[in-house]
Amino acid sequence: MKKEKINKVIKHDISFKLNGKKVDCSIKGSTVLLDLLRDDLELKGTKAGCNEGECGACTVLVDDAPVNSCLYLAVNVNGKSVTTIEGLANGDGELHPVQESLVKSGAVQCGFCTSGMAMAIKAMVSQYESGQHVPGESGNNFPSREEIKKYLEGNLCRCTGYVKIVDSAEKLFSN
Amino acid sequence: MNFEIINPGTTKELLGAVNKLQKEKFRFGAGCTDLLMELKKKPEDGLTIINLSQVKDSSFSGIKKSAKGMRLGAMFTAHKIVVNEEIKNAFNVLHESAHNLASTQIRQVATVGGNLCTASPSGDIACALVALDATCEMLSTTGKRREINIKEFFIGVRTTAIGKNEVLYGIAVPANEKKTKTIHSNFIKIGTRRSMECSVVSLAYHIQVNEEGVIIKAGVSIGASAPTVRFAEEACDFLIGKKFKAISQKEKEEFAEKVLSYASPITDIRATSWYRKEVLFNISKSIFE
Amino acid sequence: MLHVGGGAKIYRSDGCGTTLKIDPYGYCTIITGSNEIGQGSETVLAMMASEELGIDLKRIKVINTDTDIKPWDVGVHASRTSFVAGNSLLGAIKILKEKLNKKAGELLKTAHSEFEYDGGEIISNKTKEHIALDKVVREMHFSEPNELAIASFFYEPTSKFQDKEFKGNVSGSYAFAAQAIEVEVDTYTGNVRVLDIYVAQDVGKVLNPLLLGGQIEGGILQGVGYALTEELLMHEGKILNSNFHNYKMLTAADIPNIHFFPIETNDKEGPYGAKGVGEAPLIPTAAAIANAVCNALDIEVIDLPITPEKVLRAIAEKKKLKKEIV
Repeated sequence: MKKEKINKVIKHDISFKLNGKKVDCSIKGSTVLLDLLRDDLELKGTKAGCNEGECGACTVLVDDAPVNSCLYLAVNVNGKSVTTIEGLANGDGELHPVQESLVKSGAVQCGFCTSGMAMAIKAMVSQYESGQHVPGESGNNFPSREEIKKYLEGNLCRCTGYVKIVDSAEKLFSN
Repeated sequence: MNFEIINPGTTKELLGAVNKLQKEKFRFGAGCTDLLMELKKKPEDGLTIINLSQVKDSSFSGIKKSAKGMRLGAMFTAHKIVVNEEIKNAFNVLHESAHNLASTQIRQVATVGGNLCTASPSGDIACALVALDATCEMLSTTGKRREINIKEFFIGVRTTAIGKNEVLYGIAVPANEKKTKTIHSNFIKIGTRRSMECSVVSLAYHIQVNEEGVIIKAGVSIGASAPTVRFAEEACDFLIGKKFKAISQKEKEEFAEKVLSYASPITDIRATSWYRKEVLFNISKSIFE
Repeated sequence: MLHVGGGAKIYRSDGCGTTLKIDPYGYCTIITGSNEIGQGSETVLAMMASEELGIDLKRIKVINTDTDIKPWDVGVHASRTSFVAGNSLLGAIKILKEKLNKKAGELLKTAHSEFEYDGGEIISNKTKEHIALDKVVREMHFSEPNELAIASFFYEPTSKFQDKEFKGNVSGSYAFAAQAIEVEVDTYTGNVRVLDIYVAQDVGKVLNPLLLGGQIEGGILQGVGYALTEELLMHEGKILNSNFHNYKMLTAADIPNIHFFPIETNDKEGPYGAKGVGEAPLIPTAAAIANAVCNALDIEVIDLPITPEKVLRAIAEKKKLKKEIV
């Protein structure tokens, strides 16, 4: 009799902070962060766009860095801190300044890119605040309009033509 | 997409994992951006990924400066290159190549080592490092360190000189010449958009000029124009001893011809071979304009 | 450029239905056939209802996604939503107001039927006596002849389906626009960079300036993509670039300076004089860019998208031609 090959799936235990709360889970090695967030943890605010790192709709923050969660191994968030769109506002009913600015600028149309956009803008604010930005361009701790456009290069939007999204980011820095 | 993963936490564990998998199908995962995209499209059965991003070793992920130059760990990210002021000042070509790589999000995780080991003909950081005459440092499971010049690193499309029992550990960039007064260093990336491009053609140059305005060292390399990134040695030699600002129209064209002689581009959906050659010639000239 | 500005008969009908309801607490629900895909119709329709019924925007709900209940509509295209769904809503409001006016007249014991709606109140134009809107609705429900504060309306624009020669007055409204575009062409690489776009467009009466700007800017960048980078490559029936890596949508880094000069007019068919605006901005862009490239290089580029390779080839051919002539 032919022996059937048994495929045992090895699970990996990970522990990380998700929107400020500790999460423990057991996942397959090949799970990407996007699937962990949407399918297992049921946080649907992060959008699956192209699934190949081209559109930025799935952008989340891992230790304050904006990453494409579709191309990020979930095992690598072990011990780290992940922030998704659900964790941007602090839950007291008020919007986060990034969201507030997007709304006020008229930067949201169909909304599919908006979660990723908001996370990228949030990352830009914190990277500029902490000096983690391109040296010497504006000579300041805030980006020029051109630098904002460059920073948002990885987030595609079909509706807005980006103008109002860039406006919304610019307003955050001018305040 | 389905694979097993091993997450070594130290360099010793990493080499142990490589050693253990010598008879198996395995691949390294650094930033994993290229790797995951590839595996999503073409899943491989029975594959194990050795995950490099949890290895705690500053020689593997950090940056170190010395009189000899600068050494980047293989896991140093494109983002870290972009925000490093010293790199921008001394090796602008490397800064520009990293800054024009993919997108903000990809640059947070994409690594120098990944860009080299993917060995894509259009690798941006790879192209810059070739112009900078960098040295690749490998660690083997036997504990041996091996260094080779980056020009010998790329064997063909997606193949490198790394042995199956080796890991790319770091990349050393030699310091600029002591007599260098001005550096003309840049990375020219050609695509249809201004961002999010995979190079249709790229040109990296790092040209050092002394106080008299004479070129004393030159590194020029081309991307997306041949099966591997190529160092245009004859074009570099041609420049030595010439005054950067006094290069004539004829010399410019001669230089561009020499750069072009290293190109054997293909035609694909992004551009034809004709276009790639034409542009390469033009942008080579533009260095002096 | 002349384009349709709402109510274009691409199909035999360009109609849209609305069901409007006011509840006993003075909340208004607009059930519209028209979809919201990001253009802002929810906002604009709610604004219209608020204006007409004096109900605060926070008390107005627009239902546009549930096909189990929403009336029929052709779809979101051809700059039609504000125009067609707006007119449809105004039609429903008119019917509902007749019912409300009648009841308000009864309750205020006045024979005339001229009322104003403001701040949740129905106010007599003549006597300035007023009564709460929600109270009137409750009285409609509770007192004879016991009826609902609901109205339905189907709006069909007066335009005609085109004839066999593709002619006719096909649209309820027309948009007029002009764009002037400045480009920079890199003759070494063939890359065209769009620097400034000046847009003048007849937008009818502006209902919401912020949303209008969003429609114009979004349309223009699509137009730039259409002109320069976006192309579905096919080979033997298969798409070669079915991903965002090789199908090149423009990114934020590519946006030119957009200078928008709205020309405000009053369209006699449109709601409050408004007309459709969304599609027109992307129509002239590619032509203007192609003209600008031709003007810069004295070459003819008629094939879209104007890729760097096409530009470089045209330059090379022109050089060759010059040599042959000499």
